[in-house]
Amino acid sequence: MMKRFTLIALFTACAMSMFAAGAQEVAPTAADAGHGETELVVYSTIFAEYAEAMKEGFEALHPGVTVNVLNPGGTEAMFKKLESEAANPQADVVHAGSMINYQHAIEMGLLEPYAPQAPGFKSSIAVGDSRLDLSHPEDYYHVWSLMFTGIMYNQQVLDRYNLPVPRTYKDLANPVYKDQIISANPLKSSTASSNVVAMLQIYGNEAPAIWEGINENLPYYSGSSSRIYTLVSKGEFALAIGLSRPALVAMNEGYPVGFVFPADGSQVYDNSMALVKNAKHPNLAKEFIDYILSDEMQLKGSEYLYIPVKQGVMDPSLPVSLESVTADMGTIYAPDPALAEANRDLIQDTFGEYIRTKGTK
Amino acid sequence: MNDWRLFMKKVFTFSWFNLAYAIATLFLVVFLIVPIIRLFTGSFTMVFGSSEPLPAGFFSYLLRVTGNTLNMALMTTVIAVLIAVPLGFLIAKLQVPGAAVFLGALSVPLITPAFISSFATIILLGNSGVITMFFELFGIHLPSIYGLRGLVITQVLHAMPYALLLVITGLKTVPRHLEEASISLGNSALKTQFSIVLPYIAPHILMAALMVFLTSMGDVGGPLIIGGSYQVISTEIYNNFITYMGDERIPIIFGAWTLILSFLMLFIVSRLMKLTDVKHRFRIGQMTYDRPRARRLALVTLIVVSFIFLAPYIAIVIQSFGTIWAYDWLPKEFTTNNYVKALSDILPIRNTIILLLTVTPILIILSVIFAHMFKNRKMMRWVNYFTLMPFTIPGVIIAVSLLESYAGVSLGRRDLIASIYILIIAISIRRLPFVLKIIEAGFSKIDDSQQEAAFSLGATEVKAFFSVILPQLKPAISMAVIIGMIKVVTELSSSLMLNPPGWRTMSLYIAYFVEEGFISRAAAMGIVLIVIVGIGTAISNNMKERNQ
Repeated sequence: MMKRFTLIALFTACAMSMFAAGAQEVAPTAADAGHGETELVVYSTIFAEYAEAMKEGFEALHPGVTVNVLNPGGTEAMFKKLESEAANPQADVVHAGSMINYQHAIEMGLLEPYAPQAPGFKSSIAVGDSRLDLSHPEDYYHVWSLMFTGIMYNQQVLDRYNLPVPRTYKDLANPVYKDQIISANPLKSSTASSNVVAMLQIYGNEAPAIWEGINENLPYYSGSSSRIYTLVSKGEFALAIGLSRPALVAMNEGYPVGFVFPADGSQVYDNSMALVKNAKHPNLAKEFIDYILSDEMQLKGSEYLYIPVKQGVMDPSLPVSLESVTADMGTIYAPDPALAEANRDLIQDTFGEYIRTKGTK
Repeated sequence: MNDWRLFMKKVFTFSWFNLAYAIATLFLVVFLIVPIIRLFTGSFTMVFGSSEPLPAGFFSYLLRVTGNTLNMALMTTVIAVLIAVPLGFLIAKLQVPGAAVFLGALSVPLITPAFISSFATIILLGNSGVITMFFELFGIHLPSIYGLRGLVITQVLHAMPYALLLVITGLKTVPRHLEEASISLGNSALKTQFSIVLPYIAPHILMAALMVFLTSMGDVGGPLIIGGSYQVISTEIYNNFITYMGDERIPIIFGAWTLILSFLMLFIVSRLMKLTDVKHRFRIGQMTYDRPRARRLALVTLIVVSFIFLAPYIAIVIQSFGTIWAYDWLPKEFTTNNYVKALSDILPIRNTIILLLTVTPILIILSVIFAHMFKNRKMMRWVNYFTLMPFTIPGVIIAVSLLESYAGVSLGRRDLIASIYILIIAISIRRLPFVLKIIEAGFSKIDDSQQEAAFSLGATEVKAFFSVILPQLKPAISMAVIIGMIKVVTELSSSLMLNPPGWRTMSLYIAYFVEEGFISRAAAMGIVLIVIVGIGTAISNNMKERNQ
């Protein structure tokens, strides 16, 4: 009897939970005025608290609408998910990741053009001496915030080993930094590949020799770009080749870290977004893109250290404004997808070899 | 030929078991075999049709990575089993006071998500770790944790408790009369353990070794965080699969190669297990020994081992109450804010509990059906090879194969791939081998003659199952429930890809905050997760004791 009871209890628990699980599926609520769409799905790898602010803000503006922000675990995973669902897309908007990722998504036929209607948003801005296109020429994607490539350092570790703060990318090839530099895998991470392309922009044909020197100093290539900042913050390594924002977040948290905008040049790294092709809720998706480019959300982003792309939304003297950040920087390079594409084989072969043979020589 | 006829006759005679076998096999075929084959065959053109040569030295690289993987898995297995077997004997045989507490404490590493354990190891043994700093006070520089050393430490931390639970389950099946007979013949207690008990539980030890080996081989989280430049198959597949500039042929070649390797291993292990398959008809309780001196020694050993195994988790508890912890003996400041924040968002906790209550019963039912099928339908044993696939194929690949195969399936209000059901299916598939292997080990100890006796008394197959088989399976099932719960709550890589709207779990919450560098918040949620699974385990144990 007891055995039967146990079995019945097992089945009941299973069935009840399945029912509970099903009942929890988000049900459509009252229709939004106009187009009748009540749900919006955004794939984004953005910081969880900013994602929450984004969701709450948009829902407040559109009563009856539910925004679901999903993070599949990194930019590359996000685009892989988008690609896997191409036959029946579940996302309406893809948000975060750089134009390199978006360029690839366009080639895969995953995106749809949309020209934003947000007041004051310009498709091109000046960043230092360079011009940066914020919109794809055919409006497939739009940049909503900026960062810069460069070098994160942990002052405590540098002091411990009596190492100087590097000032340029070239400095990273100095053997004194042996085993003290960490970088993500450039074949997997757009952060790492942007730094690699930045060196190509700065040094041209000499760049591979610098890559070689830096490779000698790297104990390994990290499979995750975000983890390199955690490791340097904790003091595991002195330097990380990465982006400005995560380093500044760690600095604000109180870690003994800083960020060097390389004197030989830094590349602008963008956070973009796009409308997904055959999205189920295209009208809300377009409104969401406009919302992210609104003054309100540009300012909100700056609270999480995302540099606004719209000039005039914040006091230029504030540390997160584009004007402040770029004031003392050396040469600023705009992303150059054509250069990256032309050197794709070189990067693939060189870093493929570095990664495969790391730790074997 | 006769076998085949018998098999066909059995298949075409209606029985509830055939129906259950068909449903379970269909589940596996539809949600694992077909999607994976589709994904792989879809890539065949890319692999074989490409005019581009593979990177120079690719095959020596493949062999080196394979050698690395086997080396790591072997080291982890040997160390974990060498610790787990004696410890299992100490806990099960010597009436050590508080044995259940030690067992509970030693299970903590098992409950903790792998990436939290890796960070715990870094907090202690990393370049800026507390133990590293301590040795530096005496001028001793510990070697870097990033590589094989760190990997083996982290994996042993995780795998040893698993092996320990399997060994203890095995020890519970040893018939008391065997040991009593040995002692009455004048053998010492120690000799009895070596000559009688150890050979008797050999299938459990082998099963534990196989599980540790395959878990180590398939681990992605550990090698990604702490593996350094030590390349293993799982991360090479993962890194080349989730990429936009890597060579897309590499994960396909590595994936196929891994499948061949794991099939080969299962073949060898199933042959070995047949050699050690011993059954006895009488089973009267578990033999324990009242040896005060040995008990005291066992107690000291258990305290020391528990401390060593729990040290990284003590660090995680400290971290969960800390602000930032960088290159220092302790965090900069202490706070309860991390817990306030973790507990203020109740949704991940609720979602995790619902998944726990949904997937664990599915895992148990599927495993019992499969294990029963492998035992009673020899012609269906080929299915067993496929149940191993989730061990070695990274979860992200299983998730992508499901997304690609079922993108067009709608459940009316919502598409399958955007519903909670896809997550339930994926976690059930991914965690099936862990639970199935425990139930299989349970089946290996069941006395067939009792079932035959039931048949001869006119019992149906179903009646014989409930009255003869199920009672004997109880120790294995209660262990499988615990392992199932643990494996469900710690699943990450499929959940990241398939996480449907509104279904963020605790494991995902932890992953997001680790990624953002908010280790303290992640640690706090990790502790909450351990407490929830601990409560679940206690309830399961309590129910088991009441039943007994």
